[in-house]
Amino acid sequence: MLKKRQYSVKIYDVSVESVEDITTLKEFLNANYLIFRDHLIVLRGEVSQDLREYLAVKSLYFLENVNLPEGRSRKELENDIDDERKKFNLKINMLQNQLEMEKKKLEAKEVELEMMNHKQSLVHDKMLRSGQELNVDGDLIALNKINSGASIDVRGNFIAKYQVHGSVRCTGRVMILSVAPKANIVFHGLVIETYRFQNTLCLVELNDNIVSISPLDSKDNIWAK
Amino acid sequence: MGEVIAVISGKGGVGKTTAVANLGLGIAFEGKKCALVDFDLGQRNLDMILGLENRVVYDMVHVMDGEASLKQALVKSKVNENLFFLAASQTKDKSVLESSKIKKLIDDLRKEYEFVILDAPAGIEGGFEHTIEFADTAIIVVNPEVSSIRDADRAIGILDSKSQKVKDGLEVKKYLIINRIRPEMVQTGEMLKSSDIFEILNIELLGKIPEDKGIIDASNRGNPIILNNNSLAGEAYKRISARLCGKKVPIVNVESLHGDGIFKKIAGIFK
Repeated sequence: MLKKRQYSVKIYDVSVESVEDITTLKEFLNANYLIFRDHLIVLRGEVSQDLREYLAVKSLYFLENVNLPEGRSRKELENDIDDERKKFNLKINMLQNQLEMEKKKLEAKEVELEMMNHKQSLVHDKMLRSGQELNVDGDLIALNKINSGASIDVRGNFIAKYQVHGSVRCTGRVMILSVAPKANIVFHGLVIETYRFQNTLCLVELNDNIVSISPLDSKDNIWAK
Repeated sequence: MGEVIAVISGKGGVGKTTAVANLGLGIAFEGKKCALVDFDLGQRNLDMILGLENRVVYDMVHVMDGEASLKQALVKSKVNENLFFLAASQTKDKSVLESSKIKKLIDDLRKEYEFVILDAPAGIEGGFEHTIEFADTAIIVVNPEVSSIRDADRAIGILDSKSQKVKDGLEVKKYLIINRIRPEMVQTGEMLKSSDIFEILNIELLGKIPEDKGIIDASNRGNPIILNNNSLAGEAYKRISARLCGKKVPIVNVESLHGDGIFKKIAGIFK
């Protein structure tokens, strides 16, 4: 079984070129003996016997002219860690943004789906009295009266069985209705004067941004009676 | 258990309170016990039209707050012992009304009287909603004019959504009274025809009452017009009261009743 242990040792790497250097080094080590007791001293250059003996006497660990892996100072290490962390954060941010975008896409799809579900036709057979409102996302067929003061908002097409006295806002393709003189009819944001209906059942259409109103012949349909 | 009838109109000044006073007396003359309640808090005037203003000691708010018993507060009519009246408070306004207290008051009245008639305030605000809340039947009073009809239409819409009976899945009976019809104006086409009115409102017609100058004087004196045997309006109220009591009385076409003389009729033709 391989016996192993991993630990860090502080290295004091020093080059000695001259006799003065050796003297200076000895003085420095004397002064800071307590600090360098646990260090590994790496000597480079011409090492004298005298220095070796000194180090042995002081029982300091040392090596001469060896190649050691390039170590890094604490500050450098910290910078490295910081860099790594920043990169990591950036990646998380990117992922989060991506997630957010996906979520939004999903929500939009849900709303669209809901709209599609809502866009159902409605057949309304109750009387709509003054002050009452009816909002329909899809098509609407009104089988009962729409009194003065009542309002209808239809996103789809609109057909009314009785003469309309109230107000109608419609943004569908067609409307089939007859209106009372005081009714308020708005088709695609355009107010339609009620005299244009000539007191008869009319088909209102939007063709190339032009609203056309044409009376329906009573012989051909069951509604106008 | 008595029947609770709310008399409503939406618009003010169409003759709700006058109708309540006259119908109350009419029902009392039919031999039924009837209680009238003025729900127009802060603006009471049913007491004056009944000629009972000086007999009011306690009002509806006193009863609801337990300061007086129902017996103490109900004022008996001077002309018929079947008719009783509960006044509205003049000092408190509509904000003191609470559904639970009103329910108790109405339930207590229902036990004692065959008819309980509630005089609703004009408008469609809180006071109106409280009046219709526990009613079995609503009488809608309109004048033959477009604003009155649109307001009545609105009031019916609210009645159909806010009444307790509707919330319980039942239907509130609705009857129409067309008041202040001026036959000569209908004949000349200046006034809306009755058929147009119930075409719009789509509720059952209970009766038509012609305009009668005697009503103002009757109200001022506190003698409802129904006591006047020579009044066409009084006769109309008698017929309506009988219908409410379950008698089959045909609707009289008041538009063709008298006019203001043959000359006006001829003038109407040439208009």
